[in-house]
Amino acid sequence: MMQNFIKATAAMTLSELRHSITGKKMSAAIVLAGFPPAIMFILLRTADEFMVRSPELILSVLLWMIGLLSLLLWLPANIATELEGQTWIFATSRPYGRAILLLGKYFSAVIWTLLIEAAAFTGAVLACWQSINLSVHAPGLIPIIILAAFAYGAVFSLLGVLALKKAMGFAVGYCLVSEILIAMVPALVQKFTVRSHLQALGFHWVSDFEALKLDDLSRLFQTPDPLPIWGNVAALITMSVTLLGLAIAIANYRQYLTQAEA
Amino acid sequence: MSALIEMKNVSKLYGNVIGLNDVSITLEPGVYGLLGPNGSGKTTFINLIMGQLRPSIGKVRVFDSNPSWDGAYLSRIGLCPATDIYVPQMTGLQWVTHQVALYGYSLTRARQLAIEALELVKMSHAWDRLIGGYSLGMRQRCKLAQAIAHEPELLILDEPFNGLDPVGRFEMTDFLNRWVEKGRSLIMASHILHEVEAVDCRFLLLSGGRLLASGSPREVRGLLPDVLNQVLIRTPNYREIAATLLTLPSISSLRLDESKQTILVSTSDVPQLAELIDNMVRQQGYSVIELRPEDESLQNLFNILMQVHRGER
Repeated sequence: MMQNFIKATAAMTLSELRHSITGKKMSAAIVLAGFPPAIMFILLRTADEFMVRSPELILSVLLWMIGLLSLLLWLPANIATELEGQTWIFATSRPYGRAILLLGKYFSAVIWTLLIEAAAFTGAVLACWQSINLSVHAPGLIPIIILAAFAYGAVFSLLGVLALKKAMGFAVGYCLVSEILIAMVPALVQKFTVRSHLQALGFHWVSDFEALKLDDLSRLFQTPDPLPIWGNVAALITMSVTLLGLAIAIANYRQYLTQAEA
Repeated sequence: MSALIEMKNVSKLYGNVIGLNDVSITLEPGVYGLLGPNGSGKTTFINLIMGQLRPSIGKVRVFDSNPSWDGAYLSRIGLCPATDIYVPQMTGLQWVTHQVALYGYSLTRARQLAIEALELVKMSHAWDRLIGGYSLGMRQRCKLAQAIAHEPELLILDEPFNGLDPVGRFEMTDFLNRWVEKGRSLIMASHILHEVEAVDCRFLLLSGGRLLASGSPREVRGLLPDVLNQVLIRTPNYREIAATLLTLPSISSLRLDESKQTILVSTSDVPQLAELIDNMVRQQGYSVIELRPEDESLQNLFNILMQVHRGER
């Protein structure tokens, strides 16, 4: 049974990826992937202060932004459209179909986002090649990008299942309130945001960001009572698994009307 | 032999609207026609079986499983829902392969099963074309293919004749009869009585969310000897055909519409009427453009059953 479940989830993921190769989505992907290299290139030319001191910080923030945007554009609306559009009936008439449907959408969105991030990172490295070697930060950035994609994917999946038509609005609200505002509050509540853990890992794996501590901006990035590395990794994995599990449980429990009943 | 489906005092409410009202029934493996007018609760009945909905009151068991919590039984069922296919960018074969793969088959095996199923529903000539270019009937066949590809024990069809032309209807009936001959179970929901009658099955009659009657066609008709079927015939030879029809004792009334070249016939014996028209077409060369049952006959049947149910008859 478990083997069938995994195969079915893989089939759903593959199908979702195939569906995503449309002109509209490819254009969005190209814009997203091209954004970090373009910004890095411009900042390099203008000899921006941050760019001189911590180019890896700028790259990290840009990659975080496009990862968040990619998942935001992809997941909540995709899940809500499927459920609201009642096209899920074919998939959900299979054993454990709702879980398969949700996981398929989740994994395809994560894979798509990671591909965009990979292209963006490569582009940024090439854009700055003559002045800075950004590729040395790859070992630190890659695991953070992967953890971020899985965690945000889980958050948006849950919002997609919960809010349906309003999922996109809720997801934007979540990003603004939780990932931007609450993540900057120097209090325990910060620990409930994905960004705070990503940031903490960034301090360990990408750069010590010592330069930042010299100016006032450092306060915005300080994490009170910092967790050890494994603590941040565990928190992100726990968040991903719990939120995704919750999304699946809600999708399984909820009753969605079909066209005939609606 | 264990029951296919057991429902005990099942009611389903959508807010203040009753989808299904106190239905208790046990279905053994076999062939069932789920009949009822639009909005009678047929799709609710199916969705309760499929675990898409949970009963507000009562218990449902399918293949001895609780549909709300145990999804494994779904591998024994093939569902062809009324919902249309919304994937214009995929070919029929790609879509059916994908649907079959969701049962946990490898892509190679899923493709093989999809090809076999599409051949069975006579879609082999068009499976490599995009679904966006399919007719409604072709999409209906694809839906059927994805439901039968994994050879389920129970096939559930929701309005399977929708969008099919006369040839498609004949082929669908033929397919269903072959399915039944293999000893497999079938539940077919429709609001057209004669479509269901074409397959040898037991009726489950739903109206207003209530199960009004169940049994073989003869048993149900025995309950309602005075219910007539209305059949619409469109033909340029309407005068000659109407004159011949009047000689049949089973015809109780006949209405001609010269502007539309139609005859609306009320009869107690539809097969006899169909046979007579077939003979006229063959032997006398008459042309019949359209021959179809009118929904009103079924509605009439349900109205009478409702009156019987309320003790008004």
